[in-house]
Amino acid sequence: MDVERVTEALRGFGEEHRQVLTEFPRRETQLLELVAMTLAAIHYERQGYAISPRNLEAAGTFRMKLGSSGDPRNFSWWSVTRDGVGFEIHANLPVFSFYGADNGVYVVDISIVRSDALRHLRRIDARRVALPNGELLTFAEVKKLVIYPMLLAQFLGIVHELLPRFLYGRRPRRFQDDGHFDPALMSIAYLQGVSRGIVRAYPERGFRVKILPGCDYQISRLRDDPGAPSPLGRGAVEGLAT
Amino acid sequence: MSRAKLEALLAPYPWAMRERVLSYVSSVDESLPSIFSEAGVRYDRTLGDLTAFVVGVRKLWSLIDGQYAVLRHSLDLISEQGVAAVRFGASVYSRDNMAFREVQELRDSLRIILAQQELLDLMYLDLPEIVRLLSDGR
Repeated sequence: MDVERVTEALRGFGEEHRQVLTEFPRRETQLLELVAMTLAAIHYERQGYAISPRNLEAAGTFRMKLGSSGDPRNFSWWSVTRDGVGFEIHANLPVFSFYGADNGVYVVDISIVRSDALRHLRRIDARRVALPNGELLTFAEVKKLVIYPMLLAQFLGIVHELLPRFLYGRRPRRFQDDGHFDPALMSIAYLQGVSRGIVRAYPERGFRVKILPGCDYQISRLRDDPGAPSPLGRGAVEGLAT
Repeated sequence: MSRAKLEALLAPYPWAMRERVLSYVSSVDESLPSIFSEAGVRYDRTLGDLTAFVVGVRKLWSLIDGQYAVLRHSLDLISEQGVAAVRFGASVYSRDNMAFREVQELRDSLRIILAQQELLDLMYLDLPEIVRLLSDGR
């Protein structure tokens, strides 16, 4: 292999496509949200739910909510229904903490909430609203980081603030029958070595969470195999095979 | 030596991409002796340098190819449910718009270059396999 020649060729590629490459970091953040939202929607589809996009813009455009700003009612979301039971999937929804008395609000990357939950949005101040904690059924956080122990700890902190029963108690009644996934941490990166041992021990500690590395790969798998089970499905804490 | 080449190669790329590639190469660099051992190849600094260079190129490819694959596959999956396009603020992506074509063309152009440089097959190999191939004189 001629290192000099490869260097010149790829440097030339970088110069020629500099304009498009400049968009790369911003686009990566956007696509991360798209991956998480798509994985959540397809999870319910693979559980036998009918899924349909709601609040689309003209010409079938799904308007993703990015970050904490904006009224959630102005963005698109997914409706999932099965046998008369329905839920909604929203992106970047502000949710009140489980504790409640501190007015703590956390913006959840992907949240699964009860039907018509947005009717219960409560005002935080003149410009912001948040969802009462009781409307939140489960959620997913998505990162582009390698899953290091500190990322796991941060994620458990979010679970503790929002849905502590998944760490210290039992899942809600019908949670598994309804095909929900446990609070999940997704990443496009891999699970670091020390983290593997930490995640493996979660079941014996009673933690009901899902760690999913390589979620970009999972999108490709679901697309290529319409019969493939959801990677967020039962089997709870794992993701160690990817 | 190859590290300097890699930095020169990455100079025109956005900072975030450069950092992702170089930090990945650094992490692999630290593990090279064990990767060589797994490959059944005696560790050698020159071959280690070359491996680190190829790993950097592979990371660059995976970033660009991965973005294209994620976008294409996500749009495929949700289009079956009646979503024609996705909007993030001012950015809109659909299978037939300019933003999507830019991502696709970027990936296709890089693929052609890697094929011309006879590197494309290396992009799909794991680290010990790369070491073995380079050790065999690639």
